[in-house]
Amino acid sequence: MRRLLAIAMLILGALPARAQSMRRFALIAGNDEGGDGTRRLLYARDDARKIHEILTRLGGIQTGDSELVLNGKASEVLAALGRLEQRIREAAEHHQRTALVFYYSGHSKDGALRLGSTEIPFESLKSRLAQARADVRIGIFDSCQSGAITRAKGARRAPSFEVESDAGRGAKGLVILASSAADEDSQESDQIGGSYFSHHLASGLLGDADRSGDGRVTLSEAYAYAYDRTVADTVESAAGAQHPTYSYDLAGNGDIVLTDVISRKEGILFPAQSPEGTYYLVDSRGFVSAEVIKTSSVERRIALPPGTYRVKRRLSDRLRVGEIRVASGAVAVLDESSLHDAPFSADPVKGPGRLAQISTHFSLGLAGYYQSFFDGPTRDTLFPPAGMFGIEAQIHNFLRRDWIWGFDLALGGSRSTLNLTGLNLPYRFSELTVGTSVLVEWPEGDFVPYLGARLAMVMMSRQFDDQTLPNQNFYTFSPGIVLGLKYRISRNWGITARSRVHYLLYNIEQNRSLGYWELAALLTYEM
Amino acid sequence: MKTKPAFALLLLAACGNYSNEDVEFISALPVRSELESKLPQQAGQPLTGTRQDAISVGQPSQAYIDAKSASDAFNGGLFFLLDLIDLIRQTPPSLREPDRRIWGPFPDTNNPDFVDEFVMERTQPALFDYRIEARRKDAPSSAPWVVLLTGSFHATGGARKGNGEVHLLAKAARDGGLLTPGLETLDTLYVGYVTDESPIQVNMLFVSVPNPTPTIVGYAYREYSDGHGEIDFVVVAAGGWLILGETAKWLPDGRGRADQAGLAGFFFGARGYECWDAQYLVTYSNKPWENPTVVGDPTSCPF
Repeated sequence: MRRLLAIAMLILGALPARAQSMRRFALIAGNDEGGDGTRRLLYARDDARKIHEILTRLGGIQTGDSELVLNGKASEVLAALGRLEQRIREAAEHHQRTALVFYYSGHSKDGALRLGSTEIPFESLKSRLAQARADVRIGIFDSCQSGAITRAKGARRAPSFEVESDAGRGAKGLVILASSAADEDSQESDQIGGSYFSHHLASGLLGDADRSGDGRVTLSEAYAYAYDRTVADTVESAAGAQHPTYSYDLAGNGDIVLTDVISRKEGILFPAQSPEGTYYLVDSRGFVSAEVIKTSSVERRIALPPGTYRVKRRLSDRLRVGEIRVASGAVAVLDESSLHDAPFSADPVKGPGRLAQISTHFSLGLAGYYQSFFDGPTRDTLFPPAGMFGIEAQIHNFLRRDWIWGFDLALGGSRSTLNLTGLNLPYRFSELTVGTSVLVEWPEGDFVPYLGARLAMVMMSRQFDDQTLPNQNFYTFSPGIVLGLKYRISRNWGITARSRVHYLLYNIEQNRSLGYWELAALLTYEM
Repeated sequence: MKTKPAFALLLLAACGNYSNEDVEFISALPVRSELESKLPQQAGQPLTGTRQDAISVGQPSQAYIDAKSASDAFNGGLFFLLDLIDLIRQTPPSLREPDRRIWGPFPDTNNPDFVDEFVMERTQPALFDYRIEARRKDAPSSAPWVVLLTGSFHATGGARKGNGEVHLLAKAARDGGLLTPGLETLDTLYVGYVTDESPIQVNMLFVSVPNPTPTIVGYAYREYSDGHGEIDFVVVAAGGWLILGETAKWLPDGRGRADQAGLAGFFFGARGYECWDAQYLVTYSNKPWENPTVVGDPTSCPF
């Protein structure tokens, strides 16, 4: 191991300039669905999102040079790969050195990636990566039996790989990392909110794998770190130990810097004097953002994005917990004295955290909104704009993950005047709506956009001040679409801005197709 | 094509009476509060005649009592008509067409073998005709309807201001086989009204069936924008020795004056008048058929 580190450090001395001159491309794919004969995964898309975020923030990959495909079919993944290959060819024509990272988290079975009901055979994908014009091609597969793709020349099941040193030329070739051996399953964990391999790979890329201490995480460092941690975490699991594998065919100056955790000067610094142990950095929603193996007298830097994190260090009889805030463009230094003792029951990783986010759970909301019809004459003579107040209940992840089935009840009204020829009739307009909606949300971070459809039973009435006129009412079903953005104030509370557009068929005098819109503000509590 | 079932489903699910056109139709119907006589009356027990042999200042005004009786009879006839019409105010039309609404058929409460319907048509942009008609339940759809009530309204000053008339055709209903409980002696009740100018005018005629000749009793009511009102009617004294034509006028506070003229009998052609205060007590009387002929102060009269 020491020999390996020494070699890597020698190599990395020449890397910064090279890393900067290499244009990087990434295709990140995650798919929870594996088609017939597989169980739906819980975290494959989250793993993909996390790796994508890290590589684009710390890996020198421009946003335009990356593709993120979530729950996409094989054709979508291959199409995205084709687009990147085209850009790589264009870059090569401009004599740019290029690297392509292909990351996949999801199902694989019988020698193929399983993307929903579609699949990509390992061999064809490997062949395509091998033929890509990029100087360096890195394939990372976090899926069951993914070791099958590394069954080839150079494939090894080992804690780390040797890196050739040839300073005379730049690195060229193909490296494939797989999360498990060909006969092993890749496991997910509710506690860490992801697959073991991707979770540790991500923690390593954030800086914990930087054994050399130079502020840069290389491919070999990241693999070695992910290997050690994955095996350690799964050795006592019911499914048995999971051993990542690799296939290495990289010639030239053979290691690649994957992330630069120092140049952004943003994150959390564990000073050398911080106690050793495993630290968990948990974001505001209870997600484990990074796991840090702190050794004695060694400084550790973790390049987390701005935000507030809870820190947990597990001792034999208690926890040490605290909170640390990372400001934009600043490095927060963890002060051991800011942590306090807490019982195991106060573990910030447990409770309504990550597990709650993906499990079936309920939320309640209070909404205030404004409604108006698009058509001016309709607003003036039939249904005036109205303020509404409502209550809502939602069940999350019941129909499927990230889907919300909601029910709402709202009451509102306004005062208006009906102007007929020579007659002004003031009246009170009232409206009661009962609706159900199916929404899809994208819980990427504190801001959660969602989109969906709604069917409402709308009951509108008006009561004229002139008692000689009858109260009038109108009942109908109204389909519509919903678009919203929720901001998580805390783990449980959120505020939401939401718009709805609905169709309404008015048929009392004649059939008229009408539309109305609503803008709402909601306060929600997620249980 | 697939959208058609969804559209039909929405169509079936939509219902109600939320209609501006309905408001226009209903606004063309006469409204009780606009046409009723608003002769003030004393709170509590109604004033009753305790006339002494000789008229005197401070005694209950017989002229007011006669006016009140006339006002009550006028309102009774008016309310009977409007009750028939008001039945449809709270009921959505059974049929809506661009210039036509139909309510019913409904069971006829007085005639179990009959059904009624209310038909209202807009014959011109501001002219509405309406009618209540009845037909035997088992009559074929081509059978004619018996018209019980007809009305019309010409909106000249907006949706609710204009002139109109309502006719209750009691004899025609009986001729058509319907029972008209309480109206056996009535041939026709006419009500005509004008609401687009001051005074609002309402004229009412009760025409009885011939016995042997028809009897016609009429009222003419006027209501001015300043709140004062008038009603014309005929008073027949007990025994029929005196028949007076009377025009009673009043202020919103209750004070009033009745001008009377002998229409038949010994005092034919004679004229007189009586005034009362806000308590409906005589303040002045000048009538040749009373004794004494003149009592009180004529300056106490509000008109």
